[in-house]
Amino acid sequence: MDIIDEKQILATNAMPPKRRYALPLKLFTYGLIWYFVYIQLDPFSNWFTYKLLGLAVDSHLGGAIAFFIADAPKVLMLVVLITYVVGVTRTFLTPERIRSMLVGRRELPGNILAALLGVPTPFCSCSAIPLFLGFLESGIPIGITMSFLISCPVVNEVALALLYGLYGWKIATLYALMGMTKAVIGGLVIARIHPERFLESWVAELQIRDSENESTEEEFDPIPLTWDDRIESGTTMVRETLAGIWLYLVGGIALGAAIYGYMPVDMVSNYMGKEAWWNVPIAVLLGLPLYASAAGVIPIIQAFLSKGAALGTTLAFMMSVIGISIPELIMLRKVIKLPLISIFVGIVALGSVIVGYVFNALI
Amino acid sequence: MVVKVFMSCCGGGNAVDAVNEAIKISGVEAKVEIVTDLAEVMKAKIMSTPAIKIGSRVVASGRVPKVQDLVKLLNEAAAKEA
Repeated sequence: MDIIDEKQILATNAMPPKRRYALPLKLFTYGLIWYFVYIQLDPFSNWFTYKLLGLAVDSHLGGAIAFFIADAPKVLMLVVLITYVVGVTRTFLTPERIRSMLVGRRELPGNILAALLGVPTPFCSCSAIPLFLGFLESGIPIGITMSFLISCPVVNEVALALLYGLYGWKIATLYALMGMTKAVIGGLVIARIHPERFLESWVAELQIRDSENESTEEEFDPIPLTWDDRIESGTTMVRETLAGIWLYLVGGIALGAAIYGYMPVDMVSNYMGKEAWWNVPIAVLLGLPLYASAAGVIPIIQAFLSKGAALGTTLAFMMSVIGISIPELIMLRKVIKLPLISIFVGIVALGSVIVGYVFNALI
Repeated sequence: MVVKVFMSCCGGGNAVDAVNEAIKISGVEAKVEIVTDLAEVMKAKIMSTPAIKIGSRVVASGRVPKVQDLVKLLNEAAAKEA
C-alpha cells in the first residue's frame, strides 16, 4: 500500500502543468541549434583553413588542419546527440528489463534478441560482470549471454552514429548487421562447447545457494523514474561520456589528422589495402591488444580510409580494437575460466576477420 | 538503519555523496556501508551499479537518484522501522 502511494506521488509531482510544454520546447530548441551548428562545420573549416590561414588546398598541412577543425567538432557533436538519446532510452531498457525479455527464449531467437538489445545498452567493461551473473542466475543460457556480450561493445550507438555521420547509412547498417551476425553466431558456437564447465566455482555455488533459500527479507524495488529523471539521465550520460572519451577523441583526431596530412598513400594502401589476403588478419591482430572506445578509433579510421585503406580491413581493425578490452577480460576472468575467455577472444577476432573479408569483397 | 551503496569500478562516488547529503538533510540516523564485493552485489539482485539499498529495499540500481527522493525514502524507512 505504502509503495503504491509513493509511486503515485512521485509520478504526479514530477511535472507541474506549466512545465509540461517547457521541456519539449527546450529540447526542440536545443535540437535546432545543434542542427544549424552541425551543417556549418564543413564550410567553416574550409573557410578557416584556406581563406583565413591562407593554406594551399592541396598542401599536407592544410589537409590536416581542415580535417582536424571539421571533424573534431563533427564527431563530438554526433557523440553528444547520440549519447543523450541513449541516456534517455536506457532508463527504459534497464538490465532487469532486458533480462526479463531474454528469460525463457529458445536458442536462436534468444541470440538474435540478445544481439539486438546489445545495441542501445551502454557498456563499460566492469558492468559486464554483474550483468553476466544476473543473466546466468535467472537461467539465461551462457550462449545467449555471450551474444549480448559480443554485440554490446561492438555494435554500440556511438560507433553507429559516427559511421552514419561520416560514411552514410549504408555502411552504418552493414556494420550493424555484420556485428550482430557475429554476435549471434558467436553465441551459438559457444553454446556448443558446454561453457558451463568453465564457470568459476564460486559462481556455480552462488547459483545453488540462491535457488536454495529464496530470500524473503530483501526487496528489489527501485523507485519509479519521472520524465525529469530520464531527461537528466541523458545529460548525465553526455557529461560522463565526454569526460571519459574526450582525451581519446582529441588524441584520435590529432593522430587522424597527422595520418591524413602526412602518411604516404602508398604505405597505407600497402598495409591496409585488400590486395594481400593477410592484410585483414594482421589488422585484427594489431587491434586486439589496443583498446579505445569507438569515438577514439573512428577519427583514425577515417584518416586511413581517406588515404586509400580498404573499408573491410579498416572496419575489421576497428571491431577488434573496440570489441575486446583488457580490463573487460580481467573482470571476466573473475567469473569464467581461461579456456572460455580464450574462446571468447578467438571468436571476436575471427568474426572481425570475416567481417573484413566480406566488406572487402562487397565494396 | 543501514544504507548500502553498491559500487564497481565505474564511478559511484557521487552515489555516496548523494546518500550522505540525504542522511544529513533528513536527520535520520543511518550508517553508510560501501559494498564492492561481487557476490554481495549479486545477492541483492543488483545487475548494474551504482545501486543504493535503504534498509532492506534496493531503491535505485544503475543510477543515482535525486537527493530529495533519497531524503523521502530515508524518512519513510525510518518511519517504518519505528
